[in-house]
Amino acid sequence: MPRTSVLPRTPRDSDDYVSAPITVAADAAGPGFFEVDFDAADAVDPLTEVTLELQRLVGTVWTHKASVRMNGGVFLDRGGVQQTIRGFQLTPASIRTLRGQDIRLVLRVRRRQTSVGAQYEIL
Amino acid sequence: MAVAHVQSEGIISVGSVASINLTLNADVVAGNLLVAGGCFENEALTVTVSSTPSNTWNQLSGSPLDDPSANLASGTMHYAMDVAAGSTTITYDPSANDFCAFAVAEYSGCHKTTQPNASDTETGNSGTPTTGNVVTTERSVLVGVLTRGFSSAETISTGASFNQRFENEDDSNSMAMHFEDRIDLAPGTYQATWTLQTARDFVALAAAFGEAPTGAPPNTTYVVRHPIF
Repeated sequence: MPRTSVLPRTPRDSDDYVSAPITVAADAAGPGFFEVDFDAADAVDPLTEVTLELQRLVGTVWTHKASVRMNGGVFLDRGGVQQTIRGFQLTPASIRTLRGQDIRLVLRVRRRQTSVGAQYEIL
Repeated sequence: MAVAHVQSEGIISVGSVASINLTLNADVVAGNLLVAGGCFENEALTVTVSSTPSNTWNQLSGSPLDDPSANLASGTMHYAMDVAAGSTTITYDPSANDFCAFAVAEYSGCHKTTQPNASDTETGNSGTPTTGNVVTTERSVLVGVLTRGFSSAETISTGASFNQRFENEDDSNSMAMHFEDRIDLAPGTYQATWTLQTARDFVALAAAFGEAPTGAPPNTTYVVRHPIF
């Protein structure tokens, strides 16, 4: 299970985003899971596009490291069972390159959204 | 100029997603070659690979390639020659939401205008997936990309003499794939190989990317022996 729910609230509209800082432990081994937890109402909203981005701090600038884009309305599992977790995973090799660095998760939505939250786990 | 591996990295989706993006750890060097190997589940789909800064991405002939069973896995390989310099983000974008994974490797010393030198693809059901022969005519880096049918978490072992650049063995909520290469091979006949924990449907792609010309050939003195009349 993810260790921490990092976003204090949900983005409210297309101009909004929320972010949460994380410092990758010096001994983090990975892999790193970065995920969005949708509730059922979010998952069936076809107008929603959600982007979960991992940024790293390079000097004073937050730069893109990895991201995933998710469209609403089609969050169905292989077996047709609705899933509520979407995101991406970085391998241990990638996580090792981020050891000791400041990173942050940024969650954006393109349409009105009510109840998504992001979480992470770096083993 | 010998072909050399510069960097490589990969990412997998968690669940079915619209697209995934990855920024390579180090800035890419202008003129180098980027090779992206990937996979997705729904064989009815296509995939687009793009990058920022913009590069021209070419899809390997025969890609995407579907496994022998319905809707278990498709493998892809794309490459961009003579790439732009700088921090580079690569996007792997299936034509609809899907489970997917991809890895990217940067190589130096490769041809900037004509690639690949040779390639081959293969599908089947085996514990030792192998491509057909890749017959090269110049020094090359041989890249192999493997994906397999849904099988939860089983090991994928790198082929003999290959370097593993990326792998994901757990496809319980994503796709299993493996990316490997052999560097600076002399012209010859090669195959990309792997070993699976259990025989599974597989998709294997291999391409040899040729070395850049080294410039004018060295001066040669020809001795002509005249017949004696």
